[in-house]
Amino acid sequence: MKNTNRLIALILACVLLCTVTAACAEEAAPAGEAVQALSLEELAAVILPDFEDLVPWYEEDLLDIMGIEGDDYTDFVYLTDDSGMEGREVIVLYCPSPEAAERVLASVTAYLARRVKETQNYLPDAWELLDKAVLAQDGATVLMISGPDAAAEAEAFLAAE
Amino acid sequence: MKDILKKMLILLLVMAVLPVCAPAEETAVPPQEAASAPAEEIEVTDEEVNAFFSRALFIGDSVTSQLRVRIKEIQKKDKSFMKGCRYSTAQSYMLYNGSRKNASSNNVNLTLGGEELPLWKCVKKAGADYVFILLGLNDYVGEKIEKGIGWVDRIIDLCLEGSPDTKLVFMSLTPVTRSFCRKKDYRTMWDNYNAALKAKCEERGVYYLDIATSLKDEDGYLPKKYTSDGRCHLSSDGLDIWLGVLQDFARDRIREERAAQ
Repeated sequence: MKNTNRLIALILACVLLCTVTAACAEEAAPAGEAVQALSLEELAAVILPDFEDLVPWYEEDLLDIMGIEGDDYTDFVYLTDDSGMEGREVIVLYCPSPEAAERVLASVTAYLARRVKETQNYLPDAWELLDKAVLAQDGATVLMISGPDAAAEAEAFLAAE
Repeated sequence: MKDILKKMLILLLVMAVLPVCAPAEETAVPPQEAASAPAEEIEVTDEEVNAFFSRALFIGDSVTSQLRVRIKEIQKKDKSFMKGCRYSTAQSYMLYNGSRKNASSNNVNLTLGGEELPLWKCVKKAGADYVFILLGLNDYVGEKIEKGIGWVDRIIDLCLEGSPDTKLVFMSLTPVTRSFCRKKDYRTMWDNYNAALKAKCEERGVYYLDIATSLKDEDGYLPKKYTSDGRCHLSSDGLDIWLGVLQDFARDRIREERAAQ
């Protein structure tokens, strides 16, 4: 009898735990949806502590510098430090398809390689940041982030997808 | 009857005289005969200056990269500022590499459209009306003036062969700080190179743009307020001085183009 009561109590506890977990997940979903509604620029303003100090670049720069065509992304944010000498860069793109993302990743990878080459033995602090930059593709999202907290920032951008 | 005839006669006389008194029609003066307004009096708007730079390409090293970033910064508040201007820059890029016909994978290269290209191909690909070039700092070209001018000659040859209608504008080396000159006084070397560059540009019929003089202090150094690193790179104030020189150059060209029409 005692064992039966204990078993019932355990089952009830499990059911309660599952109910609470499900409720939390439902509450989280709306917040996740709200974050997804933000543009990449708005997201960057939330994620990057130095956002206000960074300089934004434009579509023509993505094309001129990296050869990324307008059809290969639906949204982007491209920021650098305001001196152009510190190696602090944030490039995030949402692509319309994984195929487009692969093309974009190839372009950004080539760009990063050039930046590493041109700063090596020339701007050592910038080179160090760029050499350790986070470069990733997750589905249709491509990012390259160089900076002291690049890994955490990259994780935040990818979590917001 | 007589009165009527008199009145008609007077009316006829008045009608005959009126055309003579009327002001003479202005005859169109053929353009070549019209006296042109002096170029410097022709007003040039900011919009026209921005439009000028939409047909320009800037080529250079880290210093020109800084100019590009500064322009982006200004565009945060004024998106029309030098909108459409294109750039092909690479930090640590050298004047020597600019004079090569091919881009080597071993070297730092310029890029345009994501493609690594030699300088003359960037010029050809951009198809700009004006190409502004600032190179030589990474070569320490003040220490090898003859070689440097030879490289400039080669760049002009390659660019004009590939893009005969493009107007090249070689910019003077920018000054360096007193700290940069601690072991060697580069002021005279830089000035001598700039003088030789100017002479070469005049000889080859391309533009030379002096951006150095406005950036110098009374001793010929780059002062602290104009440097970002205490050596050779420029602060926002220094870059704004340079932008002012560029805007004046644009106004002069626009006036020339209008006066020639």
